[in-house]
Amino acid sequence: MDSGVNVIAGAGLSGLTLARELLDRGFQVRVLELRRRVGGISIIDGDARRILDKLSDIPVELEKAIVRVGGRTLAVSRSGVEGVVRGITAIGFRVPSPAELGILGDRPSGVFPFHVALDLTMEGLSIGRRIAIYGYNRYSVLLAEKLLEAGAREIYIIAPEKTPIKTPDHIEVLEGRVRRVKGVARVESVLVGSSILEVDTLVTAIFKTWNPFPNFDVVGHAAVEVYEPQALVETSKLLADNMACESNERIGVVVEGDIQVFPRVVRRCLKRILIARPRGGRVKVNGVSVDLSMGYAVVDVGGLSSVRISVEGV
Amino acid sequence: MERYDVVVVGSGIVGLLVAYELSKRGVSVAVVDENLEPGFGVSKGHASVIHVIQPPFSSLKSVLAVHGNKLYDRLVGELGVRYRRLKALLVASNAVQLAILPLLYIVLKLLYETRGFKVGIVGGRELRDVEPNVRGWAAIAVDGYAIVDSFDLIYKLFEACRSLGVVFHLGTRVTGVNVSQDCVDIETTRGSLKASFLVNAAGLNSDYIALQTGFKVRVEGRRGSMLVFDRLQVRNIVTPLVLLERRGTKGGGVIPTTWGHTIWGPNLASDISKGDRGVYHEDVAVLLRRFSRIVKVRGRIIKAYAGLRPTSHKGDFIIAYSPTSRRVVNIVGIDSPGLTAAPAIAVMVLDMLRKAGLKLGLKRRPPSLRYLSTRDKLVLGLSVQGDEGVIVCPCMSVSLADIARAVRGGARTLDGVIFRTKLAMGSCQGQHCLGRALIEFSRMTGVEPRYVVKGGEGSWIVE
Ligand SMILES: Cc1cc2nc3c(=O)[nH]c(=O)nc-3n(C[C@H](O)[C@H](O)[C@H](O)COP(=O)(O)OP(=O)(O)OC[C@H]3O[C@@H](n4cnc5c(N)ncnc54)[C@H](O)[C@@H]3O)c2cc1C
Repeated sequence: MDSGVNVIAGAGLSGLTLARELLDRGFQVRVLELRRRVGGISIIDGDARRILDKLSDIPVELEKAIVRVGGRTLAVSRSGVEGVVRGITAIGFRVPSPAELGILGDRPSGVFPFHVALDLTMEGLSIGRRIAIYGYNRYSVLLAEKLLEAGAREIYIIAPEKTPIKTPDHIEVLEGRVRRVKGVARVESVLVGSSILEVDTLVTAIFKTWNPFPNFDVVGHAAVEVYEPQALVETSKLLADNMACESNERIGVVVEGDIQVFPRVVRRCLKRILIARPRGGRVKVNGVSVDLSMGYAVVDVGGLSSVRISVEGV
Repeated sequence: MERYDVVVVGSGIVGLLVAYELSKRGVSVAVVDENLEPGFGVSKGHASVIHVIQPPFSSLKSVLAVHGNKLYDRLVGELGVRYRRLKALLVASNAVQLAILPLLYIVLKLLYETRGFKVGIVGGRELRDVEPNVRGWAAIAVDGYAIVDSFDLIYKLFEACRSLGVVFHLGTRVTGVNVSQDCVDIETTRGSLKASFLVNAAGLNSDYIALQTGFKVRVEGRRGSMLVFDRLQVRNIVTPLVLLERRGTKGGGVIPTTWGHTIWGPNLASDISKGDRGVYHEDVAVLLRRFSRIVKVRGRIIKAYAGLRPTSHKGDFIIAYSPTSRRVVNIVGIDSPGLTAAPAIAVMVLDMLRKAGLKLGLKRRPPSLRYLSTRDKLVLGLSVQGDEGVIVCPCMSVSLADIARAVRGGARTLDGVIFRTKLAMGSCQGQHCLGRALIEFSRMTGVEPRYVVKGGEGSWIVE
């Protein structure tokens, strides 16, 4: 594959906005998408779709997967295999496995990672009647709405910890950790804390960042745990600026506590960085207090040679 | 009514190997299994290790394990199954263990080398070279272990059996057996079958089938739990060096798989149950405590699963004719290391059937089942085209063509596709592929999505 072209893995909101930002700055790009559609999980997000609609002119190679095999990174499609040396991961969140989330017990049918629940629902298929969604965030609420529309009878969102987000009244939110699944053929119940919830379906909607491709830059949900569509757009702008920056000098970033900073490597000419903390709260950036109640903030770092970020009130 | 020379109850590793060896010798065979796919019993939830000897060393179990171990190279070569020989390293990671190492070395050398398995000592530096992730001062190395891709083995055996003419009655439960002078009548949930001989390889249910023919045995399920990590942590099987272990904490190791993952376990749970294949927090805690002392964790836990070992009341394998008739051969209590022993069990059972009057023909060549999956081709740097290039599961590089091959190979459930192709078995556990896999499986088989099941009856996926 031509090394002058920036290969973007994933045509979700961040992959597509990154493509637009890079094209605007005169870069060449190719956007590769595993699925037969674009939009990723933003497809059920009204705010995100308004942005996506404006990106429909960006060419996307559908059903073209980036895979890592035998120590190499390849782009594979119906028309063959291409080697990829460098690119940008925009493949979105990873949903940890039930075992990783501490959910043990039986292994019946009816336990779906978020994306599978979404893919099947988008195909017009009904994934269950009484559904527990584990994880309390923008996407679990959106999926709950979608499932209710698709005919699910009861939906419970299970929040592993207190999260400051609004939920519509018709969706019940329970607090606790899912510890076990019970069911021989199909899910019969899940154990939340010490109480049993009778459902036929469990959707895991807890999200983590990840980058399976070495030498790839990373953007969007694959890079930071943020939930506002605007935050994804910001990561694309920042990465594009960072890539356009000629200088190799860097701004030193020191972080204390559970704070994520984007991009990971901040070049000198980058004027702004994104700070994320899903739990919200306030942080201090070089002594200045910043509000993270939206889960993220973009702060000015122009002219600084180093930045120190810490959680306020700890 | 259909009549066969031999009906085998059970399509686990044992039943399949018996059917395979019989059909190679021109015997007409039917296999009956209550599950929708072969190998969905005990044989789907084990650790895939080909073991060496098993204490007590004079047991049938140990003798058959040693023999089975020696038969494996040929078996996997014949079928083209993924497989690798390796060592087991018993690692000393504290002063007490280091102190008992020399003594244990001498004992193991005596016991193992007379049976053809070499035993050596690995010093600290060499241990770090061979196993950079292992924390230990020294280790005893036992040769002759192997790891096998057991799903590959099960499904290649199934395909080989089918092309050798074995008839499979899947989704069919044996409810009764009637032995008379010149034949065996087998009642099932889908009609009856007649056979000259019956082989009972019914795993956890082998006691029930045995009882139908007047053979009183008892089988209990002993649970073992395992964790799977999405990266290789070791090259060999690694386990702490200990002399005596309490029940409940015993057993298992850190085991590499042929497809690049690592298994921790299995343990042996202290409670006994025939049905419960659930994983418990206590079992996971035991595994984490036991193995995080000796290996550095690499990768993420992607799965926790458990299996049930069918253990007989004697604690040993029981392979015997029914007391009233030599037309029935019972294979009862095939717990660990039954996968290892299975080829030797098949040899023994064939011999018993021959002695009971079954005529065995000359050995026929099995069909060649070698093929390259999309992942194999990509690893080898080969090009792929058409449906092979349409990747459904990016973590394991599984394509539409691989799913189509699974369907041609007889997959009737989504798990059947998963086990045959490794779809959804990688780091993202199906996040990007299970939706599409269901749609494509439905399209290829002509079964509507709402009638597709995950594994067993009633395991619907969508409505
Ligand atoms: C946790 C664990 C780890 C293990 N690890 C290893 C290992 O690393 N190495 C090793 O060598 N061994 C290992 N074993 C042992 C090995 O898995 C078993 O010995 C082996 O799989 C037994 O195979 P089988 O064919 O006898 O039984 P099964 O695979 O259970 O086959 C029996 C079949 O009979 C069918 N059946 C039962 N009743 C009826 C009926 N009435 N009608 C129709 N069909 C019926 C069942 O559906 C089933 O498919 C392990 C076992 C466990 C539980």
